[in-house]
Amino acid sequence: MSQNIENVQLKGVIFSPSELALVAPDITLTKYIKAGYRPSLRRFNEFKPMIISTAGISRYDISLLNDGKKINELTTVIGSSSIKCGGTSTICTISAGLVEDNFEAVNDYRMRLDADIIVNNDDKNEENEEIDNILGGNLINKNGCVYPVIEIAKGTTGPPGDEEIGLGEKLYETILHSGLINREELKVDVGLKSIDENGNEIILRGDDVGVIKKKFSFVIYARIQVFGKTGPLFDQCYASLVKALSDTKLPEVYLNERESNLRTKSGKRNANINIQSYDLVCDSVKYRKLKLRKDRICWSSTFGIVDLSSLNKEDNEGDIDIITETEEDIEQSILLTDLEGEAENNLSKRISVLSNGEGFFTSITIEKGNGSRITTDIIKQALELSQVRAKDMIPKF
Amino acid sequence: MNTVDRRRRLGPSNAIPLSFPSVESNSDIENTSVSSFNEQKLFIQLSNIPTATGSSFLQLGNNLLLASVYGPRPSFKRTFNSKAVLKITFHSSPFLSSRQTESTFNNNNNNNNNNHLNSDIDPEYQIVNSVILSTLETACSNLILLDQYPKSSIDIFVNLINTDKSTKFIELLSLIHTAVNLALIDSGISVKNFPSSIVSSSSSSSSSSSSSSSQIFINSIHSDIYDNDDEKDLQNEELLTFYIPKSTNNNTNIKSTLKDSIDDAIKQSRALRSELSQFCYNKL
Amino acid sequence: MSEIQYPEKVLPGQPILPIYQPTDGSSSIKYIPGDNVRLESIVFNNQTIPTLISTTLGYVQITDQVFETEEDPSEEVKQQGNIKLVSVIARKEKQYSDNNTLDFNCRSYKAVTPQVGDIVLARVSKMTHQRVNVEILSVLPKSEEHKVNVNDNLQLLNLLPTETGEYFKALIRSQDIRSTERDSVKTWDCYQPGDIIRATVLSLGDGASFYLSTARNDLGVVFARNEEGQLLYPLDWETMVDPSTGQVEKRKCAKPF
Repeated sequence: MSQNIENVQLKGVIFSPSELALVAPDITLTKYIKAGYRPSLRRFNEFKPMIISTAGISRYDISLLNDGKKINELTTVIGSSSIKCGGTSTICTISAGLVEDNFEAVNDYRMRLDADIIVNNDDKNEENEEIDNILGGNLINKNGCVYPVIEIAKGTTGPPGDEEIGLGEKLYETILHSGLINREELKVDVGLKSIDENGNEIILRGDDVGVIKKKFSFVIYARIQVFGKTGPLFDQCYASLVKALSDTKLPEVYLNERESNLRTKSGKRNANINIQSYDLVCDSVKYRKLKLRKDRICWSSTFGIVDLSSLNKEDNEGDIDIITETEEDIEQSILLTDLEGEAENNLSKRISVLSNGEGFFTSITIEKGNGSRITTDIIKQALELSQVRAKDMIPKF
Repeated sequence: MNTVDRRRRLGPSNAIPLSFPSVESNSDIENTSVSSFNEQKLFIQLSNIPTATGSSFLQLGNNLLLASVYGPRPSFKRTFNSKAVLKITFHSSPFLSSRQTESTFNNNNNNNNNNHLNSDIDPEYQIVNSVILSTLETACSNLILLDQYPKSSIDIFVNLINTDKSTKFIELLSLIHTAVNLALIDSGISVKNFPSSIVSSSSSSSSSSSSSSSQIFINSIHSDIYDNDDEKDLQNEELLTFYIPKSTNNNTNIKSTLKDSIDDAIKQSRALRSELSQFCYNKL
Repeated sequence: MSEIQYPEKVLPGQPILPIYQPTDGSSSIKYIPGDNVRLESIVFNNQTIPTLISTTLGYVQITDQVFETEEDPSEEVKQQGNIKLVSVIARKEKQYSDNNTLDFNCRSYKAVTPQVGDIVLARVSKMTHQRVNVEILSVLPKSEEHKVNVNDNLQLLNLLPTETGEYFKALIRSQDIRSTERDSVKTWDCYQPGDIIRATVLSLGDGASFYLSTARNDLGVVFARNEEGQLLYPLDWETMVDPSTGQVEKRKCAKPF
């Protein structure tokens, strides 16, 4: 470490930038911001480019192997996406399960809690009735949801971490409350597979199938793998989930005749056992696309707010006068987009906005954090920026 | 599943996983694709995970693999370790579980298709985690100079993102090893030599005509002994690990051809190595 | 003296230089293995040749070995230039100047574990009267202490992977804090939790932690804040001051002048 001996001023040890970033990331950040840039060399309101694509690994993606089959039989993945943003890549795969209606909501205690939450809205110009329905009706009955499991590759094994759990929860809430998926869309039209007189397989539907009284719905699972985390992940995870959902294809479902016979034999006395013994089989080829509500597709932007305190205590490479400068004693807050790196990740003041780019927001989260208050200016700025970003990015889905 | 994961939303517990009946397959097509396994184009990307010490992404046909190496980093063992501890984890997408024998996804209770499809799985195609882990452990502990990293642990993760029905387990195994090898090279962790892994079909023409041609997997490095003569130099190969699947052929035949098939594998392994090393060299 | 031929870039396992026994007439230059290089006897055409072999993919670098002895003999050895250190710079530790871009993504630059004699940066985590517990943040490049001007020769730090926030743990015994009056050291007068210190690795220690020492002039606190979070600046060897309030705190500073 070099020394500067030509004056009598106080001096600390001089660190190389990388050392300083390690020892005191906050100081590094302040220094950068004073210079008008961020450690990632982006500007304050510059977003990171994000490459969105389907991963092409779902069952229905045409096999790269050209092995004569149109589907990849090995996987039950029905939708996939891959997102790259800086050094972080995200792979999202969607699969599904089947569940009996009226059963799902009752069985899952978490669902009942959610049903009480009232959706906030302050805009009644469009889709008045729909919004009223949400307000008045049961949210769960209207909006479909997705069960996301997030895995962040950190190089460790073990139970899911706080961040993974938190992200999963937030994604679940966001999809459910934003109404991205219409509940009706997940309903399954169960057919009955049978063999007709000529020995050909036929699938009976609707009124032809008297046996099927129960109603079924798809349950959508998502698995999001994140590699190379450098900052807050919600934006990316949300984007990958939406992209994967828009790629999702739901298979057609029918009941195996053999099994349905078996069901009738066992009689109504053992109804409980019967529920488990349904043999619902998916058609291996036929599918329908999962339709999303276009106007509910949003883009998520998370902002961090950094306070630039007046004291220029950090403003030195080691030398400082004992009399500190008294100029510019005003606290200044700066809004940063797409946080990246340790110092920015440590910012506790956050604003997270989901905007559809047309003036509507499905979610706005403000984390108060430490330090000075978040001003309306900053919030306005965040909302505007997120709009611009959403307008830009949503067409890429 | 007897335990419920309350930490995450995994959906209703009574959900039935999707089960797809198998499409009638044309066996001829499958066989031709098997033989072309080694000829398919391999896509490699290195350092795709910046937070890992080393990482590699491999794509071969429908097979997508991601290997990452973390470490050396502190190991919190009570006892003193004069060399690094190696930890290897293999993850495959839970939605691929139909080919799994033992379920490692105890955190995911939704997607157990095992009951439906396991019965009719050809053992040649079954993914056996224990084989993957034991061969990887043997190979890596022989390859990495572990005593250079005292009190540390090196973690290796393999993520199988996708695969398909026409890829045999042994071929997948070799891909997994290749991915790990490249991730290790990428990491800059000290290794003995440049490794390469290959699946070699038995060269004897008699057995290749039958549908279950015997295959052998090896992962090897060049030993410290060199020879100018290429033929002689084939002897100077150090096997890190190898795997021979249980064969349906009669054993006598296998024994006699084992040496031949290993020699053949080494030859192919060398060829692959020179390509891979050229690739890495150009990356510098 | 003819330049010795060696490859510029190497693959793991690739021989870099053979070691020949010195003959009388030849001007003998001794090459010794450095980072990412091992010495191995290889057999080539039935001939055993000790060879320096790379253990990683990277660039070969041959430097004069500088001895750390502070006495004059080091000068003599250096003049002869007979001992050269052969090391391989792994791909990821590429020098800053090579591509003129700074990599500020949080990435781990080098796979290292602290070795005896290394200079490390560490953060004080816990203290008792007998010992100071620290976490090793980074192993400093070996040549660092010989460099006069750090800023001219920027080098990416070999940050240890901190993905999981786990660091190598280490401790400094109270008698290893300073070189004088070792027995009467009060740990609280030398360090405070949160301080960043520079220290040297004494031994690999036990299973849990390394043993460090700061018993040298250039070792000790390099970065500290007071309770209010204000930066402290060294006033002398054992005092630091907060310039805004003038409050002083006791620390064992690393070479303040």
